[in-house]
Amino acid sequence: MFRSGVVKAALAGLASVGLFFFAINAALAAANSTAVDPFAVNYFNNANTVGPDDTLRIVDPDEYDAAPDACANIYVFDPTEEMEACCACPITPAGRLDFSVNHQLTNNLLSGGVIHSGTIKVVKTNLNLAGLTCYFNPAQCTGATVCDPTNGSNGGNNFVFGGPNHVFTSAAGSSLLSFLTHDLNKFATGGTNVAEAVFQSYGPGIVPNPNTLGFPDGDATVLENYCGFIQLTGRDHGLRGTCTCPTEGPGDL
Amino acid sequence: MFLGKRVFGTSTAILLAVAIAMFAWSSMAAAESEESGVELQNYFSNAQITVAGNALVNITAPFEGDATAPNNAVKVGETCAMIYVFDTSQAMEECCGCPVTADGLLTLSITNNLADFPVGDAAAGINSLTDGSIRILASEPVTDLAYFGDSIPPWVNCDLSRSVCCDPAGSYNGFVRNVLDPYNELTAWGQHIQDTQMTETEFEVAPADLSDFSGLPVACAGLTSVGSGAGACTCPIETPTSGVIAKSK
Repeated sequence: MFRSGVVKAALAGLASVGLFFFAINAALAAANSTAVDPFAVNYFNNANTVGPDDTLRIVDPDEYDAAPDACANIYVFDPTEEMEACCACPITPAGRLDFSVNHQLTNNLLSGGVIHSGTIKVVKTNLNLAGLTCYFNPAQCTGATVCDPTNGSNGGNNFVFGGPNHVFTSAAGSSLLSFLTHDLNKFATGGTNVAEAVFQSYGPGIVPNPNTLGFPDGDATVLENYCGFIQLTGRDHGLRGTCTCPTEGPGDL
Repeated sequence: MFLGKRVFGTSTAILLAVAIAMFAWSSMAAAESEESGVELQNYFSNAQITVAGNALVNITAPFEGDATAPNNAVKVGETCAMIYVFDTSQAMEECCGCPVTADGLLTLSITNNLADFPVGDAAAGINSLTDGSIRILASEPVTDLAYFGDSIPPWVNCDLSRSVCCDPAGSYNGFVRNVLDPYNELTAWGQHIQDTQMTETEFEVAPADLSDFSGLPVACAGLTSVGSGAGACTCPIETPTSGVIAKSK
């Protein structure tokens, strides 16, 4: 009786320890969920004002020199949810891209206007196939590493993408680490006040957005489609609607 | 033997309870780790104090809409940010519902939009709401605007271009339910006045608690019914970008 009780107690203890570690693992996995979600969002205020320029910094946390390059797809929206600019920039593992909000992300809007606030989405994808035809901005598709924020969209705002050139998968591995400074000076009576916020993972890479389940790549398909539309519209207006990729490193702001 | 079995059973029950509690904790941790969600929380400080300027709350709806939906509001992912403002003693002081579309940005001043007319001080004609907390629920918009008749209450805000409104008291499509339905997730950031400087933090995703989707609307309904105009926070009107090329999302 005693032996049986001891064994049962031991088994129960082991089971509890197992459940404990399962719980810990689940918690850690959840806490690390942002690392596998390629979608992230942030906002900007007070762009193109007398306050300090905001800086977007993107780091690819993939293992140094071990993983392939990736694309940082960037979509810029005005406050009324209209996409105003988009671009996609190659980034290497452990590489870093620095963008000026005023001079690289909001300086060539489709509307031709000026925005002071809005949202920015950063989506990590794999590279497009070399040789992809970029319909609207061939510069996006030159060189060995091709990143097309439209992913071969025909620009018709109709969710039609290029045929054999269309290759897209959400990038495997870690998400990009993206940071944006925020100029909080709009109402301040003096001085400057700058904060910084990490881009927020919003989940469609983990739990699909029910609104976009009908598209092969979910939210990414929608963003690529809109990007194609604005780049087609902007093509005849000096390539409006495109943001500018920096070279890796902090030196070109 | 009977005693032994009973003791073992009790121990097992305790261990299982601990294990279940740990499992439940892990689920809560999972909910808390999300960076967008249907219930968000943050604090505010030093509202009405102008030394360091005016702290803002910025809210966006990151989920893309259903681009193939016939309903224009669904197409653009229109979501209600139901905002509930509390003082430091957990009393709800203001509430309002603000529509926000996918990738749109709501920028609200804490002093001028969210803590400008608290119900607690209304009778005394003062505003002592300087510190407290803010909860935001993501909910589906109301589409039956006829419910509101000729006048839309001040705590309800509408996107009339898409014929939807946001009622934080939970009147949904003509039915006064005082219950909200969770909808597309939201992400938000809150600025905090710290003495003479400002800091900023992301809104934290609250542990999933569906009771807040009924409790908060009920409290809001009570608040606005006795407020005589007080207790309704306000939503800013977004200004479209000026420009020469039309955009269409």
